[in-house]
Amino acid sequence: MRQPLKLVPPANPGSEDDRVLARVAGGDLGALGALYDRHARALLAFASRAVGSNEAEDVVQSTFIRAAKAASSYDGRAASARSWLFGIAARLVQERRRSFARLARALSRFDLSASSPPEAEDQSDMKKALLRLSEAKRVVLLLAEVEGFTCEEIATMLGVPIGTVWTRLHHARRDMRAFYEETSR
Amino acid sequence: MTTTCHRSWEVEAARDGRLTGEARASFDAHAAGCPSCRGAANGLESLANGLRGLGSAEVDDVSLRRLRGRVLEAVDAEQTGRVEVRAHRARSSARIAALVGAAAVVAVVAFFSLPGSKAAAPALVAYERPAASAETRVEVEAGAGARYTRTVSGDVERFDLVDGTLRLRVVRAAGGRRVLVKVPDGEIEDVGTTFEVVVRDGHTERVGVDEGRVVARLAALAPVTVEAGSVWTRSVVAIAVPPSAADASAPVSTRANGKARTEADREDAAYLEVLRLLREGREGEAQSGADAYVRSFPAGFRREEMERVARGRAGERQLP
Ligand SMILES: [Zn+2]
Repeated sequence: MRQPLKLVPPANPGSEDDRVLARVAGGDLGALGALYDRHARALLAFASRAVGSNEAEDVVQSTFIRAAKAASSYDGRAASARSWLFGIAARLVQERRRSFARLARALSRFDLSASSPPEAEDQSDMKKALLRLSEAKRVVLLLAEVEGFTCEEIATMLGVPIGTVWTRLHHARRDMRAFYEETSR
Repeated sequence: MTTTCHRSWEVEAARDGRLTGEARASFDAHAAGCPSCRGAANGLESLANGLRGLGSAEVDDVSLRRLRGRVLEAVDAEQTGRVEVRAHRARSSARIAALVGAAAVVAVVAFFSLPGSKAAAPALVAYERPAASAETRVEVEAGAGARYTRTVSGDVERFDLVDGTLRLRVVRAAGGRRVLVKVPDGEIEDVGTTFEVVVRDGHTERVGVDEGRVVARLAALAPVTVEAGSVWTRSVVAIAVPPSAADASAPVSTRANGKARTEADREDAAYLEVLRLLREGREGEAQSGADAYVRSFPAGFRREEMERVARGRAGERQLP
């Protein structure tokens, strides 16, 4: 009997991450640094795949800022701090498109931190295909196939029904395949 | 070439956890002897492998460490109430124009909403100087013979220290007023709680921080953040750094248990300080800060943009 959604097991109450998150909730910057040290590399890799390397740092920065604000609401419903953080990052990737893509592009023209070169033209076909997917599909594909989250975990992380996850995943793979077939012709 | 098997849809279902129990066992048994299904499974796996190979090499330690500084800085700024991040609905393009220039660097900060809370409207962000607050209390201990004045103007509490030692303990609620110590050769801004400033012969001699941290902006030096447990002294600069030498970057000495700040950390602090000045609209100070950065860190990571700021480009930014 499957029991998807919301029934992700509570986090191990004694885990190191939980203790760190409790300290983050209390405004402890050192704890936030520790959380960062543990998860930032993976999040940055995820974000690089999801939005390209230029915007990846913004996503990760926002992830930790949001995490710092929301740490007190971390109640162990997420399976782990890792999935909680990836959930935040994934939502940010999606929200970017929904609400703030145009503004972000406008801002990036002034963004002093945008010192990295524009996204290279010679991206691999894989990358091009990935970036042509909608954010929603891309995020699900990456969380499942790269980060190794189960579809149930992803559903919890994104706050969508598991059927939606399956559908997005299926369409993401189909679109990737279609792109390949198109370009290899 | 294999023909498509009528069960090939189950390949994906199995991979994604939609097949359980008997259904899964039945499919596994089938797939073991079905080239078509095995081929489909391999196809999915190779897509996954391709994705895993993307981008992972792009994460380098330098970016990670810099980003760490930015994250902590942004969160600290919110928590200390030194600046407050607030989401605004963009009301007019004029307002956007006013805010965007200053807020560009930190704009992304504001695109969050608390899970469970009502989703924040997509919003433009500005760092806003908190309103003056009676909640700010500064306990002052002056050294014998210290000469200073104390004034409160708007949301700034200002100490002009002409000579001697001033020890301040700042107790403020989030959003309290700024506390600035003006010294003959610059200013020191409280970002934390307890610190001490010593001025002698018209120069800042020493800045010691017990709790929290302060930012010291002193003539001809890149702005420097002095953290709790650290002491900045002029003598260290004088000994270690000839003026405009390539590495004019070692103004922070540390106590035995203090964290030795690396060159890169100091560079980050200098850079962040310039950004802060920019977003507060203090273009002139930002320009000198940027100039100091370029002189202090000629091989700095942010050199190009600091040169741009130093030349005054920041003031020319406009909306498209
Ligand atoms: Zn088959």
